[in-house]
Amino acid sequence: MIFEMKDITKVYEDGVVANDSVSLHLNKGEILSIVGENGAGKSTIMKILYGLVKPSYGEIYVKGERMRFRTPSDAMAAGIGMVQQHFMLFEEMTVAENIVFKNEIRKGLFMDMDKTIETVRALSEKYSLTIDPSARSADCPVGLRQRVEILKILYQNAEIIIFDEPSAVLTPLEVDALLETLKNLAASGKSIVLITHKLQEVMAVSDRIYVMRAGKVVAERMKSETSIEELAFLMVGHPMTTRQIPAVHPGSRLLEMKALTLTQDGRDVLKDISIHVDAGEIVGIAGVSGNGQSELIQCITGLCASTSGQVLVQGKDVTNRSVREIRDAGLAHISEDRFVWGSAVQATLEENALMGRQDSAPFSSHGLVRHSTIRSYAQKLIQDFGVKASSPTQKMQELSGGNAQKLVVAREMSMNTPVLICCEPTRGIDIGAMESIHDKLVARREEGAAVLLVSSELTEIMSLSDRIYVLYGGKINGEFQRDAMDDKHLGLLMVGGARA
Amino acid sequence: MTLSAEYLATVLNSTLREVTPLLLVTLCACVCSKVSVFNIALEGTLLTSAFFAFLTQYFTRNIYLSVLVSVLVAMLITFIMAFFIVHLNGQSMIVGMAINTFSLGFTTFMLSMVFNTKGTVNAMTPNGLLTGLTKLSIPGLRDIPIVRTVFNNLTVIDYLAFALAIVTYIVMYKTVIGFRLRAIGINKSAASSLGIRVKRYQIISTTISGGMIGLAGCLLTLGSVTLFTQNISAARGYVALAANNLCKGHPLGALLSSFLFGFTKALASVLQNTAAKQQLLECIPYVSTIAAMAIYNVIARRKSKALS
Repeated sequence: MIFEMKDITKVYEDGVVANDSVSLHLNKGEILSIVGENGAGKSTIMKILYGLVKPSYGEIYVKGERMRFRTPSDAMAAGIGMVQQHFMLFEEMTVAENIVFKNEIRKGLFMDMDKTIETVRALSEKYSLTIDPSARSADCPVGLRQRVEILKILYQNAEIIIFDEPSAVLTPLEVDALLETLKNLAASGKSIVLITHKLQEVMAVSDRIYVMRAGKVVAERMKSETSIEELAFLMVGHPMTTRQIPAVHPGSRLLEMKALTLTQDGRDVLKDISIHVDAGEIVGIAGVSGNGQSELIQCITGLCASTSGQVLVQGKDVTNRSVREIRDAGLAHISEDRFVWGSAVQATLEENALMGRQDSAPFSSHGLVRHSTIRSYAQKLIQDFGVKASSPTQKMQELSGGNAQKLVVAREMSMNTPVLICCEPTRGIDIGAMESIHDKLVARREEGAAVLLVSSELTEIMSLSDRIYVLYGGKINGEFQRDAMDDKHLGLLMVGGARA
Repeated sequence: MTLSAEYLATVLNSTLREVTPLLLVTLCACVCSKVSVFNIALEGTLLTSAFFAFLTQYFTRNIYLSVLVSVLVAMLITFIMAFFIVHLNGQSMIVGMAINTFSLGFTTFMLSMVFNTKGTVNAMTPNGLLTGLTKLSIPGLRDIPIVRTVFNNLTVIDYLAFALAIVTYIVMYKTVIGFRLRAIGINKSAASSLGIRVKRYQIISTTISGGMIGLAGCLLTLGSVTLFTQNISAARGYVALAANNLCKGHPLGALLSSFLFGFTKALASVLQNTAAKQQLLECIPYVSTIAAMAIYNVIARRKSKALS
């Protein structure tokens, strides 16, 4: 046992109990997963372990020795490192510089760059985490930047490595590489704590699993004696229903693209995209991220002007019109990045709930907004979509990513438009909330809306879509009907394979 | 006016004398911007330290003490600036402008209190004749006709300014401390997540770099001429900000960018003897600042477009 937490309780100043007598331990060379929904207390427990939060009660032992962490430096000194969800890199600096920061290799007062690069290279080879030490970290793709974070921790000789939702930002291929890395690290004697709510990944790599719910550890399982279904049941507290989507016969054509092309800097980012979504249909766009999904959505919603081709909403040509005009034509848009496109972080929840409808009754009249109406509307959205917030006048940036996402989804869905564009609607959201958003998407479909779903979660696309288009290199590389879906074939098309 | 080599050497000489104070202030701006402290108080710092350099010389007649006081005053003001911005989370624009307006008011007030004037005090004071920094005359250089003119009347601080550009470069780009400072400037939270006391690094580094403004202050009042005029800094602090922007905080780039601005300033004063309108001449440095920034930004934008 390399590490143990005994009866950790954390009560925040506002009386919220984030952890209630949590006891857990970690063995050497083990991969331990902690799963739970958002707000189950898993992040708090890790922050306590990493010295970011002080527990109200309870004891922490590392290698049998009682520890009191006041800052992350204390935790680091005890051999605990954490790969944060948001990378902490010096973008303009090289990979090697990022890794040695704070424990620089010196020659007197000066940096010894040659030796730095050599050391980092040796480290990366030792753990088979291939990187180029002299590459600028800003130029590295997300998967490599995460690797830099891992190497940073290894360089500091951490023996316990905490991963906080490590796959949230990765492409499917990068996820596979990450899981491989976790196994390698454990095999080389490091002890791993994985915090996640992606149960497939948990089942793929863990040795042991703790399930947390409402601040408590509700179950401990060996991987060999549990299943995804059981873990999901334990997390949510009730069994998950496998989704049965009733067949709906598609109606009129609500969203259509004709030969949509986008050329940027002489390169076709989108090429001859002709797709359509009918009333009562959920159409998924599958693809490895970066193959034109973002641009496609931006061209449809008016955030980016297409080079040629047409976009029709309810038969009306809205190609390259303003966002306002396109939305007025009957379209709502859950954007892929909730904080960049989806909300104003400095504004209150109320204001964010209102956005897009500020000109129309009942929210305003004669150019003046009506606060009482807006407040009760915002409160209704917060309640209906289970947004965890202290008050509607709270600022958007104070919400966790998952809760912010829920509010954006709530706003866009409540517009009840005939066409709904959904990008990554459940990114960073826990299983319970994901289920409820999926239910609502299906409900919109049954009401006769046309839903275009873009998601990097293949399972999400597979379970919801009536039809799927595969996007590869800015082109449509295949189309499937609901009953002809096969994830192997789909995967092949996603990486540019030939059509069957 | 004839365009002789001797004449060009004179222009170059006055350029050098304009460049060095600007360079010193720009170097401070470089360090501040590298640790992501937006120091707009350069102007007020320069003005106040210039005043104290003159005042100390007036009362003590000790040039070493004058330089020391000037440097300390500049460091103190820069420390106050950094303390308010970094430690107390003040708005850098507000803090900077407060220091600048205060400095102008304070020096003008002191000028009238001590010297009983609102304009200029020259070396011939009621206390007797003041002497400025010793002019260096380097053997070898002083014997070559044209070169002699170029390096005429330069003080040890002028030469020091160029050396400090190189020193600042080495400190910021080659040493471990400089590496950490630049890293802090790039991503504060990443640095503090690794247990670096970011605020301490920021305050100490900016304060030390503030000392260079003190040297620039000495050059203004005790350099090529010995005098103090109300608002003697004359927007050099702001021009240094522009110069820093142009060189992106790189100390060696600062050599080039402050040379550019120093040259336009010198040009303006050299052309005073010509038929050109004085008012037009006086705006050369400022117009060229705007022009340089505009051209630079257009080029930068083209480059980033070409890259993407």
